Amino acid sequence: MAGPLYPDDPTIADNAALWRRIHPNWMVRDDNERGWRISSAAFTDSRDGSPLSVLLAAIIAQTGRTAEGVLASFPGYALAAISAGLARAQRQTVARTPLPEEPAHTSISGDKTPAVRRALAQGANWVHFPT
Amino acid sequence: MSQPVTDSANPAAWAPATVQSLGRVLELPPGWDSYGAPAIQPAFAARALDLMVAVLPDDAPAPAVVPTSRGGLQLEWHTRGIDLEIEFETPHRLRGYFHDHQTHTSWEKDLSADHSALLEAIAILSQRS
Repeated sequence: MAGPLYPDDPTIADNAALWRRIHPNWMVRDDNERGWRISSAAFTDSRDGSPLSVLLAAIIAQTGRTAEGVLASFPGYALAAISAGLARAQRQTVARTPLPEEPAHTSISGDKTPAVRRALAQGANWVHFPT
Repeated sequence: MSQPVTDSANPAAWAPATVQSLGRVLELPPGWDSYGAPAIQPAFAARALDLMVAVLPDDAPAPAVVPTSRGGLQLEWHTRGIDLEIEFETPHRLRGYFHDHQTHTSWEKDLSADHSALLEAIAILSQRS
């Protein structure tokens, strides 16, 4: 990806939580931290050039849903959160891109260099970790 | 000198788990990541295995084999105070990231043609207990 596809939406605050589903293969054992880390691979744009898809947590809450509900159809997955401010600090834009089936759908656009992907992964927090 | 991974009587310590992980990644169906990812291309797995046979000593720890949304894969080690990641951007284009928590040494490099930094990183990883 050479640059942002969507202009940044300033109505999304820097502290807004953006949720990303984490496939089990993106949860990597980290013996240095004695825990599990999110691989930088979890923050890659799609091969077709589509920007990184996330969910705006505020809209999930507004629509009466929860993290567990978001993952109901995705057994084994985790849910991670990054802030919009973290994405912007990595020269990304954050824009609402609602879908008919998912009004919370949001896109993070911009060049995802390996360093950017690592920064997003390292700045992510677990919202839900599978048991 | 690395033990050939095909020597099933005495494989390198990292080989069984890694080959199993590569096999599991190759079985992922299109759309496996819930975001429309393509299936992982076998050429990536073959290249990753070739690289590991070439550069990993027998007693190296096994990497995590991590698929990417673009149909490729990464090898990752986060152990012994080292973070080492090798991303296959194409089967023959590699980028590496290394961070040593003990010495605070870091680098990110194109490893496609020159494996010297990778060999040095793996030597540190393998020798450290």
